[in-house]
Amino acid sequence: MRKTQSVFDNTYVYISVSILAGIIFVLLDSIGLVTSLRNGISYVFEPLAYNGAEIGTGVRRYFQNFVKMGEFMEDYNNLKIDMYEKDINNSYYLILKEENDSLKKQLNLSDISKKYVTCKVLGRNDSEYIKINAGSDDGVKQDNVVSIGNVYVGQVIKSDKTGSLVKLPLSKGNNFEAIITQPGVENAVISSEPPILSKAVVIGTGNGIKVENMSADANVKEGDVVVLNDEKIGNYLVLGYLVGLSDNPANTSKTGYVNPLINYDNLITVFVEI
Amino acid sequence: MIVLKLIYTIVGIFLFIFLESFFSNLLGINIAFVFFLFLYRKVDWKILFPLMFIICLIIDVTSHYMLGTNFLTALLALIFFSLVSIFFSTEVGILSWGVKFFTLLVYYILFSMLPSLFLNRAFTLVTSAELKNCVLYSAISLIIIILCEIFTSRFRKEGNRSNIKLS
Repeated sequence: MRKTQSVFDNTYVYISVSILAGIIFVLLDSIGLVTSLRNGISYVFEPLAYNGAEIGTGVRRYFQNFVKMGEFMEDYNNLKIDMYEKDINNSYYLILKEENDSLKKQLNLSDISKKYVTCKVLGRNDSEYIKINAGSDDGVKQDNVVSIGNVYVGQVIKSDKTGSLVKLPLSKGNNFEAIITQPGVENAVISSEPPILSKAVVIGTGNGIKVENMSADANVKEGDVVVLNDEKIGNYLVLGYLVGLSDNPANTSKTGYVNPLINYDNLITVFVEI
Repeated sequence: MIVLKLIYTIVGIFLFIFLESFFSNLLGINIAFVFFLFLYRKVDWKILFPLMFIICLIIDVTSHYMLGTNFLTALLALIFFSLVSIFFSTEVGILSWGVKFFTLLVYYILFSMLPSLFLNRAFTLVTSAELKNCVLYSAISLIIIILCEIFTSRFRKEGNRSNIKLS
């Protein structure tokens, strides 16, 4: 009994002294008497506590990312939807711009005495043909020439009620009479015959356009303009630039290829001469 | 032997301060008090109290509180624990966990009031959001205590908790 009483007394004293010590420290600190002690402890332990806090915060952020995975997924999906909406709007404006550019080109570079039907390209067939959304209802007939401004796009080979199929110049079996002329003509309406460097024949190979039968003596060079001058077409239309010119002096004629002025993959608005 | 003990103690204090900062930022809990509560009645008062005093002073400085804030808070919570232990068992069982949970809750509630009281001399009431946090921190702290008890029980002899198991 005496022993229990003694322990209780000791504990009681200990607790009382501890509380007193705590209160004394609070009071001493409030009047700034333990600043040097604070400074000493701070000097030794502050870096350690800072590192511990940094690591703890890092680990918490790492786990928070897992907790917030659902939120991230939702944000990601919303951003995706937002991005698609912006893409749609952007595409719409791009189509409007393309149509505007095509119309400008048509007004500035085509033969305005002729009548044209504006139509859209619906898709590409077999890489040698394109489908357009103008047909016999719009007055489009077989063999009508399709162009943009003064650039040749193709020729209608089949016309139905509301759509037509257009043969591109790179189609196999295509051949036109052409002239090679100096660069610059592609930027204006070609109403009369331009200066001829050489006459030539343009042949579609399926995956390109070949230029043959250029005079061996002709002063043609890469970058010259290939202009179609065929009675099937009826007027002067630019095809593209001359590239890949053969350089064999033994040949009786020169050959080369055409780098088309337009990209047939990106055609949207074209004009059919009716 | 004394030198070795001194080295252990100093290294332990450094480790303690690091863990305190780490867990304070990771889970919002005060691991120092969790260990004091765990060691209470397992370690002699005469060793535990001075250690507690030193560690609490260091934590006060690193947390930029008035010196003695942590110590007084921990002491008041331990007094609460001692008083409750007169009426309920605090050694084993679910009841002891309940008592420890309420001790931790008292500690976290006091800890959300006392620092501002000493720093600003203004008594602030605990809001419901703070109370929810205190409950959460207490629950986490209790889980740590239970894990520590399970871990240390493997090193103790069955039927004699004061002796370490040697085989």
